[in-house]
Amino acid sequence: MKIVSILIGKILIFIGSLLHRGSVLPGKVALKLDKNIFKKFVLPKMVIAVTGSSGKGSTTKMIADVYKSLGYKVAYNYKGSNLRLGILTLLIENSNLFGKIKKDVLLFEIDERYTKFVFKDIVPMYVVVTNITRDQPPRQGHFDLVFNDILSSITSDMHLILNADDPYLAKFNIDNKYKVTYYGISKNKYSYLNPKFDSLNMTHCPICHNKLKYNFYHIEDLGDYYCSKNHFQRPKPDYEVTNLDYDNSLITINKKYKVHIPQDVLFCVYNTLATFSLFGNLNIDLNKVSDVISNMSSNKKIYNQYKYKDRLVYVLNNKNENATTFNQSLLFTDRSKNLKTIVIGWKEISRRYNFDDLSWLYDINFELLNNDSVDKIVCVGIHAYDIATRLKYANIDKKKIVCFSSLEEAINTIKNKTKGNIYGILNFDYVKPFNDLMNEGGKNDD
Amino acid sequence: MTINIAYLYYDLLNLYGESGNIKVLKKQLENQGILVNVKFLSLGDDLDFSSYDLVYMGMGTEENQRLVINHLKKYKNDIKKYYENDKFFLITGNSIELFGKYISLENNKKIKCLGLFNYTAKREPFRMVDEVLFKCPLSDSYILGFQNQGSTIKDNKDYLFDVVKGIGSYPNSKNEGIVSRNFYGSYVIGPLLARNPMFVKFFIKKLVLSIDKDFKFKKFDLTVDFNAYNTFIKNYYKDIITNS
Repeated sequence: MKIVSILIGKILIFIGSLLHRGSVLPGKVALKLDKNIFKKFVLPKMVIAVTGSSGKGSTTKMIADVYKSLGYKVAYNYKGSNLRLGILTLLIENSNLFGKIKKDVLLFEIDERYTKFVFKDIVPMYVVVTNITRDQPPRQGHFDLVFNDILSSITSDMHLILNADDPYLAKFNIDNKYKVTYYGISKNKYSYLNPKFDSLNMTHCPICHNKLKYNFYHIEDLGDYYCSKNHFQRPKPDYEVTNLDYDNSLITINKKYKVHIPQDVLFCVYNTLATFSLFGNLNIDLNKVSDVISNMSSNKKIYNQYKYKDRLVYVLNNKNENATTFNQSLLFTDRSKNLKTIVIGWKEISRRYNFDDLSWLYDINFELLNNDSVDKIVCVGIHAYDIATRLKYANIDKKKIVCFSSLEEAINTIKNKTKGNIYGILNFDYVKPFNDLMNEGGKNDD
Repeated sequence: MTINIAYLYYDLLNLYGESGNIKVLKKQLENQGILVNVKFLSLGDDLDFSSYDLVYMGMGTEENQRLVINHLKKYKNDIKKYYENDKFFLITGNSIELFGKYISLENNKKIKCLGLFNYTAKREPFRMVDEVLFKCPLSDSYILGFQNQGSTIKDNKDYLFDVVKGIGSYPNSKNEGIVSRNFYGSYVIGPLLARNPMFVKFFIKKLVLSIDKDFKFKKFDLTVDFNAYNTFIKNYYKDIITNS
């Protein structure tokens, strides 16, 4: 049965590749034919899983690219199908008819609610948890439910790779049950002393419930935290960014390894650190890892920069219903004191479901835009007035706020009636349309 | 006039952007020329209910709800007195459960609550998520918002809203929310005040007049709020609202 189900799966993958079609059908059919199929693969020695609310795709790709550059054969879900059937398809695609994975490494990004279905059969040696943020509340409920799902699926045989700066992730190892490699960022010119964000996942010590204190913050509740009664504190990072220089896209890890990061945003630093920490455990020359990461090109879908006339345009990809991605973008705009115009918008809130929850707009600290360097804020899309209402309650001068129901209607104002550099803080469904309209009528420097 | 708002457990009960309710209250009251003093209070703080004009609490995780009730139940008598003195509460999300008798859990255990009201809440083995379209007789308006919760209340009698579309107090219920004296509570997130300008007017008038019955209101600055509200209705509920 195993051979038949894997064979049929492989045929479907082949047909799918001819038709350029999606990547879960082969897994679906194979699981129908053999409901125990997950148990029947012979895995390579190295199995790595990457999960978390955001950054798992980018981190997985970075790990895969490093491995491949170093000559390893890697099976990974490069198309991003990260639910159970997507991972099954990945296994079928990379195995022979007897279920043996024909690669050196099995690497998969996995949806944070699906580890519980997969880890019991496909047991990873290393589990990277990038973060657990406020993400898609209508689907996820809230972060504690995500945390408990991941916690229920990991065992003490697994080696965790975690962000030391994130107190919420440190909760995984309160009982010191797991082998953990921690990474973090030391105090630097971008870190700050007084909190800038209000809606935080973790504010109190999980043991004595006293309020956590901070020596510095990087974003939201990430930073150097400690419980005043000494029950809980930021673990000492094994891999730490000891120098952060966004101007030159350069980070220094453990005072030794200089790495050019593909994007000048905080979570790219963390994704790079996660990758670096993983390879630090694997007896791989970290100088080589630094070189490979330094030569990676930027994913322009996530972060793009070009010129419109004499104005710089920054295009920041955000995920609706994920306040952290927007907060990161706001911190990015806050780095420059130059005059600027902000464009915020989306086509739809979610393509997964028909709900239009707007509460997450109030988990974003738009108050950071309440400063003199902001010339105009252009709110675009079906919920433009909801965005404008949020900005009003961030005490932003209403004369600075303009609303349009579509990018087409907004583009003339953005180009001709606003000043300064342009920051597109956009949901991913507006990134391409925005770039197309900005570049219409003559190609700009890309 | 000064209005003292106690934003209780601002750091633990802010799961779905509910600090927005405080932002709206502050700005709208200030626009009326009223001084607003928001006290951000949490575990470890002493609560003095005699010094508040309005108590606000929002939605929390189940874990944070448990931490909060342990702290809040010390003030059970103070809260009852505050309520009986016709002082104001605005309570959104699952915090309304804390004012009933208890929350029954899936393992048949119960979390004892304040008992200000006789209703009880039940933690369900599933989560309830939906858009909200309710009718609010008090403000004579439709209510927009959202529900995202793991528990229900089935035995409340003093409703604030009628369900047009959405979950309500429990799946397929006809009503939602609690109004009793000056206690206003609802499972609705949104945030409730940021999405519903008519309700804002109603609530602020009621609150201010309770302190100064002769207060002369200026025109409310709710233009963009109404634009958002009306656009949302036009895009999503045009048929329902025209036919009702």
